[in-house]
Amino acid sequence: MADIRATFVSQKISKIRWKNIVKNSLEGPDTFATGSWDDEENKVCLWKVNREKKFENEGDGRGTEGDVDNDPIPICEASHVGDVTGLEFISEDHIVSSSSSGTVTLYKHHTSSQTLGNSHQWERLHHHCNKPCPCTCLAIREDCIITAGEDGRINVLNIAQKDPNRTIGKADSCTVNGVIFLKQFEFLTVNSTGQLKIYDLRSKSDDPAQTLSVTGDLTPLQCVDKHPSQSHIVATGGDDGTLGIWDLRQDKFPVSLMEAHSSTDDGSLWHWDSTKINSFSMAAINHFSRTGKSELYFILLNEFHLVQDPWWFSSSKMAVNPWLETEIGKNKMEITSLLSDKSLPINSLDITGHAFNLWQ
Amino acid sequence: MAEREKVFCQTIYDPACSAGLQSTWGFGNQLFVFPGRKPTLYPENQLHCRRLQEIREVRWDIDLYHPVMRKLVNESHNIFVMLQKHAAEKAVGGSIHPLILKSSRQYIAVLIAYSDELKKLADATIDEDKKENYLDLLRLLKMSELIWSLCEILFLDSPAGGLVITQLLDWIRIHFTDEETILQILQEERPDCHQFYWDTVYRLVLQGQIDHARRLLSKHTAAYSDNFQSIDDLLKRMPIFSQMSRGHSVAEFDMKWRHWQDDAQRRLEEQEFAGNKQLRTICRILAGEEAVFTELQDICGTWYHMLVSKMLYQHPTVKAIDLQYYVQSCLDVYRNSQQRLGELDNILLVALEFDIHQVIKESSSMFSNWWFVAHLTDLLQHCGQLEAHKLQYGSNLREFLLLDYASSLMSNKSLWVVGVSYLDHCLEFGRHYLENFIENMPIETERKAQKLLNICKERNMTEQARSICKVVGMRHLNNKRLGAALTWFLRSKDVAFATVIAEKFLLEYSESGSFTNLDLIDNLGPSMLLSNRLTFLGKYREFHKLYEDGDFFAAGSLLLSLLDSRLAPKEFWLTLLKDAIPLLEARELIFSSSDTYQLMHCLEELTKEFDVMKQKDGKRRAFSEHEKEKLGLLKLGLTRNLSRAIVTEELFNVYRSDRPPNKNNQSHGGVLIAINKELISTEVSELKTDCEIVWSQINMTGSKNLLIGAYYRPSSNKGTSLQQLELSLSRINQSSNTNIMIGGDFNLGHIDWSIPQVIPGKPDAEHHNKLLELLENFNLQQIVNTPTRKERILDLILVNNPTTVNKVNTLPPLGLSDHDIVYIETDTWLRKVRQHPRKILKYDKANWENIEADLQKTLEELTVMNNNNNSTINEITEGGDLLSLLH
Repeated sequence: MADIRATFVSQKISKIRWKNIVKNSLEGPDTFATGSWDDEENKVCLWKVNREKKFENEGDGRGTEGDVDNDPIPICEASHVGDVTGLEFISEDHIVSSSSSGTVTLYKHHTSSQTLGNSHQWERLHHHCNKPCPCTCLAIREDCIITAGEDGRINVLNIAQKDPNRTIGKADSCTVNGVIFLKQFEFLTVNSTGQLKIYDLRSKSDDPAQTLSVTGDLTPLQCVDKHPSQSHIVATGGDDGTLGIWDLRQDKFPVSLMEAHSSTDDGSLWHWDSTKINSFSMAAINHFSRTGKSELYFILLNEFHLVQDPWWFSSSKMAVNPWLETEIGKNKMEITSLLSDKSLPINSLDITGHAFNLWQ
Repeated sequence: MAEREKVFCQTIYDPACSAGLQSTWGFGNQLFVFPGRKPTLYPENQLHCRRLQEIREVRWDIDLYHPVMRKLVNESHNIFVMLQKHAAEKAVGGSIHPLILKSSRQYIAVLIAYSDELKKLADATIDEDKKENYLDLLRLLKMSELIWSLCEILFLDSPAGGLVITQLLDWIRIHFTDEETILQILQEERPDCHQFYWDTVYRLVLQGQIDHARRLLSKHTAAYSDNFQSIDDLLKRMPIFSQMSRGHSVAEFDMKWRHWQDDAQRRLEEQEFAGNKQLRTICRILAGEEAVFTELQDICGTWYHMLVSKMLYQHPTVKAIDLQYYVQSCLDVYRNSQQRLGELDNILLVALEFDIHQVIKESSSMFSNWWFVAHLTDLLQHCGQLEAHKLQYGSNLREFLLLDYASSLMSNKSLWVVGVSYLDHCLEFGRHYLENFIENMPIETERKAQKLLNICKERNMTEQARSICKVVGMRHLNNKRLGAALTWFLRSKDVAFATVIAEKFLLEYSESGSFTNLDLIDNLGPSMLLSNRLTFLGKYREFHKLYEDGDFFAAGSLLLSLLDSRLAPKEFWLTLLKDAIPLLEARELIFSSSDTYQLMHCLEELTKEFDVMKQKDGKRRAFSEHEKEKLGLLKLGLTRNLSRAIVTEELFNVYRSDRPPNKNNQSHGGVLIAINKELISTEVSELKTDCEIVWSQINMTGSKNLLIGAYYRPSSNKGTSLQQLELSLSRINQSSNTNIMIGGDFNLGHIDWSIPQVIPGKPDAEHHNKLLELLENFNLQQIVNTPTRKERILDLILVNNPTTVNKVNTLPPLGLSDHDIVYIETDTWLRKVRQHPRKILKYDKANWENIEADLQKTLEELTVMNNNNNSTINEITEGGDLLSLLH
């Protein structure tokens, strides 16, 4: 298993994102952003990892060769009002973050002075009457930002415009926990009653184009992500630790539900690998929980990313995607735990190439 | 930091405080201070001053919240948890000692790492205050590390009787080596000219760092002189305990040492180093001469350094437990100097005296946070050093300190997560503390609530989980986010609040006529079963959906089951019944007769209740005009539906005589008799004559047969109709001892039935007289004596045995009719056999309302007859086994 490097940062990190890499670059990204939460003063920080070639033994006695990641070094930071609930790189030097104060902020990284400046703020996008209400998630696609909050409201923003393009006021009667773009004009939300709703931005109606749910089950869904190349395959993470795989073309119901984590905070990180059958692998991370008495680790996932495995993907010609096989998980799915002795919940995960970052 | 029991004083400059101060506990290590005395003593007229008052927050233990200390807290938390885990695993058997030692080393490593970081930060900062702050923390960490290391040596590393000199030397070396100076000296062109050259050499020797000392000495310009060679030889041969293989005994080492030291002493006595004062001093050290240590007190710097050095050269085989006997002499040396014994010295002293509890006690008062004592005590506890000790308060010392430490973590906005895990390891009170903390934890976002819930879930704290859900749910409720609130109440299975929300939804519906939050309500699934009200809401919404989808049968039966199961709240019945109207009017028959009766029951019950309420309390709301209108429609719908149902279901034998089709070939009107199928009845067709009449006979064992007829006389008829009636009556076998009963609209209203005589001066006297004549001829009696249409009695019932009739009523008309219903009850059974009332109804329209009331009694049978000109059907009803009919 890969080397794990831990750094303590004196903050509680809620989101971590690698900076997008320029295509065809041989080097992996070396910069990432973090957002903190539940602190007296929350911050958005940029970090850099210096990769150096080293051939000597590290202090811990493990001989390492090749790329060695040093501890990340903070480059710059900016204060943030409220918890950071969503964080994305929207371009090379712009970061957008959503806050539990209902505000969305666009930060600009001034590379010359190495500072993080506040370039625009959409205030109180989410509110109950006049009281601010937490924004829970955001998704971006090109210049378009979508935010959703505990008020069940969905806002569509454009970074070039001061006011929201569109607001769907009563999108959901309960809290929206996750949002993701499926296609250019389609996005999907998950809410705390276990529903997936697909909206089409081209449609004038505020009603979802499609709604999916597990029948009779109100287990909240905490996060959602889609297959990197096949946007009709979506994975969701439930409050009770179940991982659900959905085929949006098919039915109202998930293709498969896999139980792994014991709760959203079980602190375990699992790698779900279906490459044995086919084309890509996914890492699911979860918030951990370890029950004191049990030796067995369960998992529950909170946020996961589907990662494409380049070799397998290019050679794959199979008609059926393994994630859609109902038999998966029974014997062909390889599930690996990537973290052994962790006792605190994992809040966020981002993957790039073969490196990923996660924060407790 | 050295003061004991430091008291912090802070003056609050606020005139409002002159009256006194009050305080109240906050969350964890927090105190809120505000002006005023006990509230009861506060006169009300001074309330206006209160506006100016401020509340001040007092917090302590905050140095743990410093960014660097936070890292320390988090990292040591990992070590702590790991140790607890292993300890639990090993508790069954096997030695835990190596683990404890490992953990102790890790703690020290962490302390050192962050000392370094603080040092760097302090060096990098220009800001004086910040720098001071860093340095304060740095001193704290350094001190912690010093004490910790000593404790490790004394309490953890070696058994009380073991030799400790090697570890002690390491300890001193780590804390007193000035490597930079050594490097500096080595880099000098002529190292021996460096001002600290000899001091450094002495120090190295005193610390037992022989290799370094020799290296420095060898750099001396005179290094190749005999003196230097001699001292180098001595140093080289100095026996080091740790170098000896395990097989060698202490005695063996002791012998070697003595031998070596004798050699040193001999060289000293032989004045071998007479020419070189410094070398002589070194040799004196090696020989363990008492006086030389006093001379070098400045180089040692502290009494504990001197103690270790002295031990090295005077008692290298000293046991840890014996160290305390040598302390005093070292202390004496420093007593003369200005230095007073500080807290640190005290702690080290008591540590050397093996008074662990005193160490902990002194450390707790010296450090401003509980980090040090909590972790150290935990280690000692695992080591078994503290077992005997039991506190009067709380459980044991370890737990007591861990609780305090955890409390200071819980008081921090973000470190509480770590605190939770410490509380987990306090077996006795940890849970109790945690419960209290969780209950008071501020919850700003759902995400935090989620985290707290998971914590509760893992620990089975259902009460706290409920309270969290309640807090979040209430917040949504206050923000008018009913759907979101409901999800939280569902999560905690909070029946009361789920009911409240469901009621709010229903209220919203009855006010606006439409539902909100449909995405939630439509998908409640089994969770709706949590509360009856919620189930009703879900089902009611399902009804709407079914109705919208056009599945009227399913909708109807759902509606009925809602009413029938009493799931629906009373105040909502009216709405439900109103919803039934379109179903009643639907083209297909949706409600069966028994369904209809149930609906009638409900409406009856509801109306009664309204009446009762109105009587009890005049202010209670009565039906509004709109509602009354709706109720009228409902009644009509119900009766119509019932008649359709009866016909469709064939519960009744229906005998009818339809009016011949009119000019346009449309059928309309006629007379009919409907008799419950439970009664054996037949049509008596031989009595049929050429008027609108139909006859049927009910055979009853043990009683006279009952002959029932229905007749209609059009008002325009010129007398043939009555003649035909007469003909019909005349065919009845008068001897057959039969009860005859014939009813209908005779359209002859000008008879005073009390006499009975035709009222003079009215038209059509001829027909009226004819009727009276008929009655007389056939020994019939007309029993209706109240008007049935306006002020006239048009609907008559003729019987041959009026004594059997118990009751004759008119009931208000239903539907479009302007005729009242005539309702009668008769006994047709032999009273001897069984007291069994029999009712026979004559209707214009059946009035189910009153029938319902009467149906509490058994209805044996009933007939209705009537004829009305224009409408085709009217209706019928029944509860037990009765029936009714119309034309």
